[in-house]
Formats: sequence, C-alpha cells, structure tokens
Amino acid sequence: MTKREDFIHKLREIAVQTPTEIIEVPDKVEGFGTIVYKPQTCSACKKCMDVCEVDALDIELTLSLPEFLVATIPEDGYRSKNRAALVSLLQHLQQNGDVQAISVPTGLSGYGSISWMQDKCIACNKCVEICPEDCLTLEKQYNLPAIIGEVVPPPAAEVSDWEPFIICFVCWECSHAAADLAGLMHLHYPANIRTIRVPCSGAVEPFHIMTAMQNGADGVLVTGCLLSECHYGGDDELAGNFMQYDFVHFWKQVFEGIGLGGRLHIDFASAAMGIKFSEIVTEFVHRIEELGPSPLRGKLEVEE
Amino acid sequence: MKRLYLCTCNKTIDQVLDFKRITKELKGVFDSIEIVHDLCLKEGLEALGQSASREDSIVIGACSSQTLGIPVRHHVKSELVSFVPIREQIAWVHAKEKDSATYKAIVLLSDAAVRLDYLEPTTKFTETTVDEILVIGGGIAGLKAAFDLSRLGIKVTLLEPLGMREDSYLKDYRFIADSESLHDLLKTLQKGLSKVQRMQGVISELTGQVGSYEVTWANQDGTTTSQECGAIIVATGAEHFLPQIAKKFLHGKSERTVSLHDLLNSPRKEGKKRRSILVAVDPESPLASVEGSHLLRSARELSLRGNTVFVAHTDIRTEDENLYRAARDSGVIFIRGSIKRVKETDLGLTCRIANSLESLDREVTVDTIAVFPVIGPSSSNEGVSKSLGLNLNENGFIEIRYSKMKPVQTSRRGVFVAGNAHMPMGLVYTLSSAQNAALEAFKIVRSPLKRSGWIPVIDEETCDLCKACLDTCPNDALRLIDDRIVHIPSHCEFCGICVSACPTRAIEFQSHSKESWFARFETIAETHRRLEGKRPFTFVFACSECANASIDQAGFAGKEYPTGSYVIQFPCAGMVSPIEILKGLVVGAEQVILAHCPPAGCHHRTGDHLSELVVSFTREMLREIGQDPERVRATYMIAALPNKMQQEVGSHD
Amino acid sequence: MAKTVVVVGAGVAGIQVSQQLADLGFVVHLVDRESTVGGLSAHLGKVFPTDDCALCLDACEELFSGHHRRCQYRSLLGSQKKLNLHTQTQVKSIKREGNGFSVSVKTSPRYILLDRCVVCLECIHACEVEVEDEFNLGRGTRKAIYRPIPQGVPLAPLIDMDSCTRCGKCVEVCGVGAINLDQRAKTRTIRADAIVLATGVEERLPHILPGYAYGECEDVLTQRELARLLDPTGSTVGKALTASGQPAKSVTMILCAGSRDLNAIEYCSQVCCTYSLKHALMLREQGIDVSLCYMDLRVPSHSRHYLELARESGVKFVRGKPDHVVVRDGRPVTVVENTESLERLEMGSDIVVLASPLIPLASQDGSFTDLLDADGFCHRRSKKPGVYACGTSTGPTDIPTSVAEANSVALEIYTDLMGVGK
Repeated sequence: MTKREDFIHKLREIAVQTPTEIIEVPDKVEGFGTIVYKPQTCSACKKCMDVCEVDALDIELTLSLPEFLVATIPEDGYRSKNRAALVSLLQHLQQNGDVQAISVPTGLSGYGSISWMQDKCIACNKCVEICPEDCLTLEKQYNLPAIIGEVVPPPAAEVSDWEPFIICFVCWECSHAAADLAGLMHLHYPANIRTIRVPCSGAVEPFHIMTAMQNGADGVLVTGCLLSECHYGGDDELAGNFMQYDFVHFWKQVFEGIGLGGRLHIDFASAAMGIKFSEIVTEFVHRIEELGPSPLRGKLEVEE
Repeated sequence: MKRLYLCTCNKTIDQVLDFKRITKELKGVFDSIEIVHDLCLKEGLEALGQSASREDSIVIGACSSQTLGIPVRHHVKSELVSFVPIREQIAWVHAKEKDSATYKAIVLLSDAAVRLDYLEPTTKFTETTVDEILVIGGGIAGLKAAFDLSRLGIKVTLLEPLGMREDSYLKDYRFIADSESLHDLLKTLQKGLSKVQRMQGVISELTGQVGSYEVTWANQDGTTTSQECGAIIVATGAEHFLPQIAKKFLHGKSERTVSLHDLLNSPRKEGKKRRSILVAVDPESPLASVEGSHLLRSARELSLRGNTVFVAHTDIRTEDENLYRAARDSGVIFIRGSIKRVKETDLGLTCRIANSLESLDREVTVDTIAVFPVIGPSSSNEGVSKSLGLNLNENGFIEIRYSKMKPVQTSRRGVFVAGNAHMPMGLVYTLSSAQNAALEAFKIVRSPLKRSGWIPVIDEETCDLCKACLDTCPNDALRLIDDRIVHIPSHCEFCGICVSACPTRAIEFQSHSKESWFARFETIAETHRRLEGKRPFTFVFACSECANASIDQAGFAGKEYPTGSYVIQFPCAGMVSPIEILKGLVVGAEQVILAHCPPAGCHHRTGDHLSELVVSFTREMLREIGQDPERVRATYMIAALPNKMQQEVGSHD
Repeated sequence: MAKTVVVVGAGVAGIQVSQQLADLGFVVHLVDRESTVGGLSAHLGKVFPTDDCALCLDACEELFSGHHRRCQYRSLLGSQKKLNLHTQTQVKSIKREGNGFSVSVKTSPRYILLDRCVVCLECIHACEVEVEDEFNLGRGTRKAIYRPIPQGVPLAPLIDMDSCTRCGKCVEVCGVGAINLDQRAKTRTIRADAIVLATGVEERLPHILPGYAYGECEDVLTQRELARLLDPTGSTVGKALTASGQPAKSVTMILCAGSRDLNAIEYCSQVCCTYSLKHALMLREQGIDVSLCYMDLRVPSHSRHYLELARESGVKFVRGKPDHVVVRDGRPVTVVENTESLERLEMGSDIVVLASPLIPLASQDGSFTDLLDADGFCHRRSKKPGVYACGTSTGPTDIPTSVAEANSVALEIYTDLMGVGK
C-alpha cells in the first residue's frame, strides 16, 4: 500500500459518522486537494498521467459532451483552436438538454477524458503544471464525504469509571520545557495526559494523530513554541508551528466530519510558561470530559 | 489577380449553363473572366499560358481536373490553380435543371475563388539514396532478387538465416518445385551471385527512411552489424507444418503414420519394400496450387517406386493439369473424401474414408499413412515484421499494401516482400515476384527521390505532443524526434490524415487549413441561399481518388442526378474530422455525406476506415445533442459504379 | 538514343509493362486492336480480390507523385511523352532487323482525330443512327458514332463505318474539326529493340462444345456476358434481366463449361471459379437464387472470402458437371447429377451462366504463330531473344499475377537492353 492508501485506510477506520461537508484546505496545507478537470481542451496527450507518481490519473475513451456544451470560450479563444471549434459547433447544434458523455470509437486518435482518483491523489500539482492546455486546476478542497463514504456508527461503548485519556505531543524545544516547568512548580494539571516528545510540533503527522485515536485516546493535544518563536523557522511562514497550526485547523474539520469533533487541539507555550501549559491541558481535559469517551471505544478493544 | 476561365467545351456547356449569368454574378469576385471554347487543345492551353502570369491565381471551370489538371500545370506559370468540374459534375448530369445547374456552377466557382486565398505552392524535395539493397532471406526469391539486382550493377547484401548452407534449398522441400527445374535454377542463380555480399544473421532493428535505411542484425557470435541500404527486399520464405489433424491419423501414436516428406526422403534401399500408402490431406486446409502440384508429383513419385498409393483429398488446385493425368497414369488411386477414422491393427492402418463421389464410406487398410504437410509462414516472419515495422495478415504471412495491384509493396515504403514470405506460390510466380521486387527496389536507388506535393506543417508552439498525428499516419511520415514532431517528406503520401486527428490544430495541411474549410463552406452556403433561397442542400465530402472518380464517371456514364449537392474534394476521406462535418451542418447543409474508397482499396490504406470511424463518432455526438444522426453518413464510391451518386442523392427516375 | 519497345496488347499486363518501361526511360509503343484499352478487364466492372474497379492502372511516376493508382480515364495513358498508345492497331508482321525488330502495324481509322477531340459528345447526340450495342450483349443500342465504355481510353469516340450513313451531322456539330469521315487506315513500321506479347485472352464457349443451348437460348450466357449484365454502365443498369426484359429470380451457374474437358479445352482457366463466385454474390445481393454446379472449387488464398461469403449468403452448391441444358417453354433447364446426393436434377432457372474457357488471342494472329505453345499461349520465357510475354497471353491467370509478371518482364527487358556493360 502506498502511504496515501494507508492514510485513507486509517481514516476510514477511525470514522464514526458519515461526513457531509467538503472541507476547505488552508493555503499552507499541502498534499490535500481536489483536481478539477476541464475536458474541452484536453488533447489526451497523457502528460499528466505520465508525470503522476501515484497513478491517480487514468484516461477513458470518452468525449465529455456535457462539459463541452456548457463551456464558455474566452474572448481570445483556447490555445487549442480545434477544440474551440468543436465546442462552438456542438453548442450551435444542440437541441436537447439531457446530454451524456459518449464513447470514442476504438482506433480514433486525439480524444479522451482524464479521470482522477481522489483516493490516490497527493495534490502534488505536477499534473497541473505539466498540462499544456491548462485543463487541470488544483482546488483547496478535500471531498471528505466522497473519500470516507458511508459510515456505520459503532455501538456506544460501555465504560464505567471513565477518565479521559489524552495524548499530548510536546515539542522538544519550548513546550516540553514548559511541561517540565509546570511539574517543577508543582502546578496541578490533570494526570490524564501522556506526553510524547517530538522534535518540533510541525513534525506531528496525521498518521500520529490517527494512531493515537485508534489506540484509545479520547483527545489529542499538540503543543509547540509560541508562534514566531519556533526553533525551526522562527518567524518564517514555513516555521514548524505555523505549518502545524494550519494543519490542525484542517484536521479539526476532518475530525468534525468523521464524528470526532472537538477532540483535537493545538496551543503554544514558551519554555517559561509553565502556568500556561497547565492551563492548556486543564482546559482541554475539561472539554473532553464534556464530550465524553471517544466513540471509537465502541469499535476497539483498548488496553489501558 | 484572380482570374476565371470558363470553357464551353466546343460550345456545349453553355447550352446547359447560363454563362452570361455566371459572368454577371462573379464579376465582383474575379478580376478577370474569360470564356474559351477548347481549353484542353494545344492552342487553348498555349493561350492560357500566355494570358495568365506567374502572380495570378486562377480558377478553371471546365472538364475534370483529373484529366485537365496536368496539361494545365505544364502550361501555366502560376502554381495557384483551382478547378471546378462544370462539365462532368454539372453540365453532363444536370441538363434537366438548367437554372439550378447554373446556380450550382456559380456556387462552386465562388467556392473556388475563396479556395485561391488559401492555396500554396507544393513543397518540392529531393532525397539522395544509398546505392545498395538488402535482401533478407536466401530462398529462391531471395536468390533471384539478388541475382537480378546484381546483373544491373547494384550492390547487394544477401542476409540469410544463421546456419544456412548452399544445399539447404534442396533439402526438406524447403522450396516446392519439381527437383530437376529447381536444381538447374539454383545452379544458374548461384553462379550470378559472385558480386553479392553474403552474410548470416537475425534482423533486430531498422532506422532511417526510404532511400537511406540502416538495418542492424545480430551475427552468429553475438556481435551486431549495421548496414545502410536504399531499399529492402524481404524474402523469408515459408515453412512446412504437419496439420493438427495428423494426430487423428495417429501421427505420434503409430509408427506407421509419418510425414510425406519423411517418406520421400527415406533411403532408396528401404523404399524398395513395396508398401501400400495412403497420402492424407487435411480437408480443412484448402491447398494452394503449388501445394496441389507438390501433392500430385509426390504421389506419382511414390507410385513409381512400386508402392500402391491412395490419395484422400477434397479440392486439389494445381499449376498444371497434366500432373493429375501423370499421377493417375502411374497408378495413383484418388479417393475424393475425408478420412473419418484410423485404427491400427496387426495388418496395418485401417482407414474409414467418406467417399463423397460415391456417397458411401470406404475402408482401406494400408501399411503407411503419409500426412501431407501444409505451408505456413516462416518462423522468422514475426521477428522480421516487428523489426521492420511490417504488418502480418491473419495467417502470419507478410501483408502487401493492395492485393490487386501492389504485389510486392508492404505498408512501409522501400521495403518489399517477395515469394512465399507473402503467400505460398509456385516456382514460376516466385521468380516473377522476386524480379518484381527487384524492379521496385531498383527504381528507388537508381536516382535521387524527387517528389512534390502539399505536406503537413507543424506549429511547435501549439503542439501538445499528444502524438495523435503520429499514431494515425499510415506511412510513418511523422516521427517524434527530440521532443518535436518531425515530418519525413519522402514517406509522405500527401493524404492529410494526420490533420484529422490533431486535437489542437498544431498540424495543418498546406492549402487545406481549417480556416479554409470554414471560409469555403460559409461562402457556399451564402451563395446557395442567395440563389436558391430556402432550398435544402447537401455537402458531399469526396476523396480525390475513388470517390471523385466515381462522381466524374457519373457524368461520363450519363447517370444524371438532381442538383442540390455540392461536392468538396479532400485528398483523402481520412482527412475529414468531426469539425468539418459539423461546420457543414452549422452553415446550413441538411446532410453531409462522406464518400471514400472501397474497404480493400483505400489509396492511402487506412483513410476509408478512419473516415467511417469519424462519421460514426459524429453521428453519436449528433444523436446525443438531439440532432438526427442520419444527417451524416459515409459510403464508398468507385468509378466502376458510376451510379453511386444517384444512390446517394437520388436520380430523376 | 532511347531504346524502343513495342507492346502488343493493352490489357492489364500490357499497360502495366508499358508504364514501367516508360518510367524506366524506354520509348514504348503500346498497340491494341480494340478501340479502347483494358482487354478483358474492360468487360468486368468489378474484379477480385478487392471487389473494386477493373480499370485500375499504376500511375505514371513522371506525372504523378506518390505511389497511387489511377482509373483509366484519368491516367493520361494516351498523353505521355514516352508512352505512345495506338488503338485500333494490329500487328501485321514482325521481322528481325539487326539486333532488333521491324514491326509493321496497321491502324484502322477511328475517323476522329485524337489530338483534336475535346470529348464534348455533341457528335454522339447529333447522330441519328442507332444499332445494337454489341459490347453489352446486343441489348440496348448505341449510335454509329459512340464511346464503347464510359471509361474508355482514348476518351474520344469512334465511328462504326459499317453502320454510318455518312450523313455528316456529326461533322457539322464538331466545332474543332475533329471528325474526318475519309480518314484512311495507316500502316507504319516501328523499329523496336524488344517486343512484349500481352495479347491476352477472351472468354468464350468453344464452337465444338454443344449441349449447353448457348446461342440457342438467349438466356444462356457466358460469365463475361453476365459481367456486362451486372455492370451499372451496361444496358440493364446492373440488373439481372432476362433477354425479354424480366427481372431474373433464379440463376444456374455451370463451372468448367469447356475447360478441363478432353473434348474441348484441356487446361484449367484458373480464374473462373473465383469470378463466378464474385458474380454469384452480386446476384444474391439482388435477391436472386443462385445454384452453382461445379467439379472443383479452385479459389486462391487472397480470394477465399468470396467462397465463404457465397456459402453464407445462401448460394446452392451442386457438385456435379451438368450433362446438358435444354430449353423448355423458353426457359433453360440444367440437367445435372448431384454426385453427393446421387440425385439426378433438372434445375429450371431464368438464366444459365457458363464459366467458359479463357482462350488465347495470340493464336488468332498469324504474326505470332511460331512464338506459341500447343494451347496457343506464349512461352513464358521465349526462346527468341528480344521477345517477351506477360499476362494471360502466357496462360490464364488473375490480375495480381499479371501485374507481377508484367513488372518482372519490365526489369528483364531493362536488364537485357541496359544492364551493366551495355
């Protein structure tokens, strides 16, 4: 299985409700997106297919008549003059509204429609860049409903004496120091949290978050240095915590969609902010207490 | 200046068409209009040559360009000439509708005027050739071709299979002929090969183009040799196979069932033992006449050795009727029918034969069954055809371009096939075939290849390198070299099929740009409406080979049809794409008919088939968007059926 | 100085070898005794193996770029620099002269001047004499001034002086002075370095073969005559009509009617099985029942599809050679034993078609007698230096073989006359 296939497999495993909303992907989040294909000017050159490294594109011998008939040709025309002619002639002759794609006879070159498999796509943009006819655009949207499909909610878990179990990813630089400081200051914060040190909050991947949920976490907290103070990047917009901030923003929507809303949070504290750290944790634990046990508990055997 | 010349053809065309009206209508379109009476005669052509200058562009409304075109081109300095066949395609077929005929002439002459705006001079090119020919396969055909070329002083390399020896041709019936003729022939041919370079190897690659190919082959020791040549003759011969039905005759199960060749080759001493032999022929494999001759000669041979010979057969074709008689006279017993069952007993092989002449089964017990081998393609055909880019037919033999009149030409220019490599043939035809191939190869190398015609021009800026043009070209005239589509002029047949496939319009055919079709169709529609009002009209897109010839012949044969259709010539029907067809409908034609060459005979090999696909595709588009798909159809037309135009657009009866 | 070749016979092989020789640089004189070229193929309409036009020619390389073929009418056969076409011309004598020959030919008058005629057809419209159209089985008529077939090359008409009344109407309407009613036969001598015999064959029933009611019943035809009937340019516009003008509903074909017969022609005419099947298919397309009586079915590999299609389309195959054809109530009845069912059949049909032997034409002309074999065919590799033969003049064969042979002879002549060291 490719990494993306593995990812989607895992995502489907932790989904407990059928998602209904398409998710907006923040600018900085790469790897997720929707390829929109305009077939009118496609010359079936297959450059997109050749450059795609994850086989997310395939070609069908069909002519996408519906799109041809609603296409608007810009004032300076298409680069592909023949396609502009074909579109305009077909529109001119159209008599009825309900139009389906038609198949291209075998043996006729120069026609084809690209089909895009969203399961496999890693939104690397290579196909978009290489298409000589600008048929492809990458939109920052993730079609969660189409990818997850229908989800059967698991039975409610029977949990007595439940205490939230939180996984907290602390960055090696500031936030773990903050955590230590909280300890040194004998500040109380709930003991339901297990910390996992990572070099930078930006290093946390969906894989980690999903694994945490799969193994019984009721919530996942990610903490990092204060924004603009990331030890890997500082105030560069590509700094680890900036990136993770956007990413968590994306993931919160995913979680919302699959029925795990509210169980993911990101916050920031400097090494000197022991109090802040304990506040962050306390608040998150409260929130989880209110939400109740992870619905996944009904799906999985959890070992404490 | 745009000039129009109208010929009355001995004052006959102007009896049907109103030349005054035509002149009046076209005054604004042409700078000068001249009416002449005998354009095709010497004085007419000379006058034309005097009157038109090099800078003029000319429309000629007279008889068909098929007969007038070349004489005009020899006399006129300008290369920009367009013809309208007002004789064969209007005056001779619309005599009953004089008014409409005149309007039709006006429409088509206006169209021709627009065409002048897009005409370009032809592209002329000369390619030098390598004065050397490669013959692959040293069977009878290969030896004969090499022999014939060597006699002309051409350098020849004869490439034979690994391990081939001089006496190989005589062994194992590698070639079928009566052994005496074969022996004498081989002696003569071998004597004439002293200047031929003889090598052995297995072909692996072909690069280059006609006139300057480079062939690579693998030698015995594993090294490779590359050699340049101007043309190639493939003479890889054929092989014998025991038909599947041999198993039914107990071949492999009983020692008494052998191959006929094994029996013929068995030592004389052993052969002295008189036997009863049944020569068994596979009833499902029709025999070529060379095989039939071989069967009869062999049966006679076995009989003369003192054996009792039966032959169970269906049809036996032969090259020489006397062979039947000779076989019968020698005592061979012919049983017409198929062998139903063979059983081995102590007495021999008991065969039950359904004798169709007597309508009953006969049983005969023989000592030996000699299974007659069939001729099949040489095992090297697959490899050779792959390396050289040739097509194999359904039986595995190398395909020729046009079975009626191109007996040695393959789909690849400059590569010819001779002898049994194409189909089983007897000695006499093999020699003709080989000499024919030698002629064609000689014609290529004896002088530089000079050709001229309109060629496709590629705009690299808008080319997506989708390779549709390359894939669809029937002549390997477009290649992808260094990320560019490159045109190979010496392979080009000027058919224009490549432009039909292009999705973008990066490739256009000289004088036939898409803009030119749009402008012309619009002009035709406008002019038609102005003159004929709301009367419906049809476009007939006719290929300039068979279809246009058929339409001309409708005129010669007096097969009149109604006005209301406009014939537009395309170099090949395969050049038409859905765009031209749809444009025809959009400008107002009620129907568009695509007329192409017949299935086995497109002059450009694939144009008819491609045009049928385009029409089928366009009909689907029309059906889907709510138009009547019957508005577009395709058909074939040939000169031998001059009534085809009547079948398509109606007749007066 | 360019070498000269005289080619006798402008059928498929004659034209092919002439065109190749002209392309190779020879001066060619192509002579044919008919008024238009094509030989037997001019009668056939469509031919096998490609089921397309008979009148197809290889294009002249000098005039046409690309390796296409062209129909006769647009081949410019009569207007090439090196290829001189002489129709209505017969060879009177061939004499050896030095290394070559002196060929005496006589051209009968066409009465139309080929370099003046514009083919306007006014003369034909003006002529009031109508006679039987012998090219189309005598059904339908033609004028005394006429074009035998629409594709006929030369394109100019000719006058049948035996029917002409010399009324002069054609001369009146000819505005280019192309008609000369007093034109005389012309004899000329051509000095040739080589001669090619491409005299071909005709398909006809040998006179000594009685019993098939040919000549007695107008609805008993040869296959060549059927080809005329089925040709859309023929008198019935391609419909199979009986002599009385009724659409035929049934046709019986008899193969080997005269060929492979010890009492008539001994050799096999090679191509009749295939073109009979081709015609059978054309008749089936018109919805006509076809019964085909045969001894053998000899079809070459490139035309096997005709046999398969004939079987599929419902042609009835009867294995047996009919003994005779009788005429009852005006209809021909074929009497045959079906050797597979052992039934004696009397098959009545509207038309009976006899696949008649292909008989060489060279034997009709005294000039060639010493060049022929016992059957009247030219020896393939003539023992006489400078004399070559190709096409059906060497034996009955199909078009692809004739073409290949003609090409082969062209190279042979080139080698003999221009080869290394010459």
